[in-house]
Amino acid sequence: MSLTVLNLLGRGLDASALRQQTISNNIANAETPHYQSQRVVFEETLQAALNSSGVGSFQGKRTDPRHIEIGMTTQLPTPTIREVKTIQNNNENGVDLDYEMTSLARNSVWYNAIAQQMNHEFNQLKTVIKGRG
Amino acid sequence: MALFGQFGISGSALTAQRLRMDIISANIANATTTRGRLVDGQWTPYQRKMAVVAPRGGPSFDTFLNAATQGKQSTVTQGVRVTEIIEDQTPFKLVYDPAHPDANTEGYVQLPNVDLAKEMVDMLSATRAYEANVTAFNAGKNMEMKALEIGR
Repeated sequence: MSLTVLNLLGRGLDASALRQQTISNNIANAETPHYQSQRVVFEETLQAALNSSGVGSFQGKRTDPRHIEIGMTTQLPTPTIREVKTIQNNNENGVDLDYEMTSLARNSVWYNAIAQQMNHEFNQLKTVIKGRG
Repeated sequence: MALFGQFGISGSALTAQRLRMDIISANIANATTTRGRLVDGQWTPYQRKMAVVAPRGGPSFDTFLNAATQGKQSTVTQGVRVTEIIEDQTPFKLVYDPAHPDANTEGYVQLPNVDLAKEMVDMLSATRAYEANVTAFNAGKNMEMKALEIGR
């Protein structure tokens, strides 16, 4: 169970790091003509994947890892990049700098939160392994 | 995914904005230079210069190959770069000043097509863009530092 949580958190960190990269890139190209800003899509697809196979839904028992899965998926979605077609500027540039800066702050806090949660998970594992606090 | 990719992205933007700033400084410094270039034995004034920027590592063969073979929709381009420095083709300003050494026979002097107000606006925009990129760089750096603390 704990491994699944770590996998989830790890994928969340991946998405957040990729998002940081796209935001940096958008800010870098804030004055490049014809540039269209990019966004990372992850949380929605993850939510959809969890909903379709989440808690309470039917789950098939597998006695061999090669069996076909029924219910709960172990395949986490990968973060994808999407271009947003907008025009913010006279030179057909699509970067909304205010939005990018707020996203940057939010993403930074979000990354720190996931990293902290991951630390917590590892500390729990440590406690279990040592058998004391 | 490159771990330190964001540093390169923000760094390229810092370089580009600094170059823009250099060009603006050159324009302001040469706002009254009447002897910019010697063409056929005649001095022509300094021409205002501008930077042309484009995304670095934009659509290339690799991008399309990856899209076709691995089904990857698009990847993050790697920052920004200045592709060329072009000269402003707007006409020079004509000022009546018969005492000027470069005045023509009617007493008019050709002055550079540099508009100081325009340069000031460009300078502010370059400064703000530079600051925004520094903020992005710092945010990325703090995230990496936080990642190093995982499992300590």
